[in-house]
Amino acid sequence: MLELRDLGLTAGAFSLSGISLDVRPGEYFVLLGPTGSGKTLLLEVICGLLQPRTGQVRWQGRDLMCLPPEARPLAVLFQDLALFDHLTVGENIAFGPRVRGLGRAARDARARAMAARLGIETLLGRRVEGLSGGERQRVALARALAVEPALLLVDEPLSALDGVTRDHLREELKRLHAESRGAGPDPEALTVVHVTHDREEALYLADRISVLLGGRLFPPVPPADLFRRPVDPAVARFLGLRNVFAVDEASPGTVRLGPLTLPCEGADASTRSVWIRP
Amino acid sequence: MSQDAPAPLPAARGRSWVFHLALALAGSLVVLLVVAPILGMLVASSFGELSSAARDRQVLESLRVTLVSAFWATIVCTLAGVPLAWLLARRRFRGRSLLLALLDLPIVVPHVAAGVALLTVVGRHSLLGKLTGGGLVGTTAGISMAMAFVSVPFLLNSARQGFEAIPLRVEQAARTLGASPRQVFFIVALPLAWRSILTGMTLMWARGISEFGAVVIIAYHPMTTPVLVYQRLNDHGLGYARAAAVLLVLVCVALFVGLRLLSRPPRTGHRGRDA
Repeated sequence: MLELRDLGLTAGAFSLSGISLDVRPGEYFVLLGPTGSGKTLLLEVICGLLQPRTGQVRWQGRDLMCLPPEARPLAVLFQDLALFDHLTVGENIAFGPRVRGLGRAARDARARAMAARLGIETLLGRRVEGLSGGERQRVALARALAVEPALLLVDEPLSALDGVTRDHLREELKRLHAESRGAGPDPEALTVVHVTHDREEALYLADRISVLLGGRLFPPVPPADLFRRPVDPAVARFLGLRNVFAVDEASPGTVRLGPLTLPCEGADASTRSVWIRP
Repeated sequence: MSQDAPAPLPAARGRSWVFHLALALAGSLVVLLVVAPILGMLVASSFGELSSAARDRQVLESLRVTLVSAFWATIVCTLAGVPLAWLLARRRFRGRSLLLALLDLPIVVPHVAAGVALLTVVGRHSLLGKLTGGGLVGTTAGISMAMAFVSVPFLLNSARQGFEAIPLRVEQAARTLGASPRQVFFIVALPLAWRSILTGMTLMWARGISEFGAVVIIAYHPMTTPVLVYQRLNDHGLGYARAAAVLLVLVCVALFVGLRLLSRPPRTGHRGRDA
């Protein structure tokens, strides 16, 4: 399990504080938030590129804060991919195994296997400079998976792609995660933390979704509940929902809005606002 | 009430050729400033003069001393300076701006003054001089040091700009894939910045070869070609000095062109299909 505990971080004028989160082993977890909400900074803290002001990051009970990025059991698929332009596709994919000391034959075999999984085996000898956007994405994904990470951090990798390519890659991510998970819950399965501003992408991929908004991380919900039962009026507004009303009085199963008393599934005395679906 | 139609925009005036002509004329002045003296020197030198200079043992020895001293200055400074350039490109630390300004100091210090300053470190009466019984005065090592002092900023700046041009994310991606800082430097940063480093080495070598002021104070002998040209100009006049100068210029131009060709970026490859 990935645990974030009371993280506080500052980068330039931007700051987040009190961020806590649990991501279950083998889960596809999506952090959804608008541009500039600090999603990427959170990923940077998890992978060790940014030191938080306060708080802890733990993986399977082990404190990651004292480990440099290269010693953490994870890989990152960056938004701008960050491919190595001076290397071939095969060398890019084999980079992780190479710096971790794997012999040439073993790492080449690993690169071929990863390329085959992503359908890019014909590109292995090509330089990355001449590749299309979709091909570059696949190379970056193969390069990240070639280190066999327990945790994959994904930073809006689909945002720069055209519609069809984006759909293909999205399916690819879902398929690769499902393959690692096998038939049922598996503690050894790949855990994914994916940040995006795209609601559709979040709904399609996520096991659970947490919204990061205005420096606050809202509790995770299953995709089905994201729109059906928004956790907060601010989240509802971010999701584009209209007809959000403040509740004057609530009791189990009913809410009162001014003169109207309405039945409301799941309402209790603590309900503060409701969304009326058209 | 009817509204007046907006006045039509005046047509763009096709006077851009005047601007371009002015640019070309101004630019020609700069080109002329560089080319005219070199061309004049080449034209004024007869083939006989050049050929006798090319067989003159003193000229050839001075060329060897010049090229070899500048070469070693460049190699040593590259080994020690390129990692420093990477640090300066990537790390933000207290005093970084001051360090950058200090490393650029040789560009603004008059080179004769640089030679005098170097004497306090490597001269006969310096600590090094007392320890070694003479210091580096009058040695090729001293010449290399003088050349290195005046030319190392060119290497450091070019290499630093090369490292800065690599997106930080690329190096960060390497770290998250398991690379240590040492591996990031050798496997990612160095291969991506090699053209800028080679350009910096070329500039440093060329600047070292052409150095006179600092070198002549550290070592009149063994003579570098710029010192020899100066000595011949003083002792025998322009005609005698010119042939050695032309030979130095020809050698430098040949080296410079060769290294520029080597560090030229490749033509961009074809674009792939969309996935």
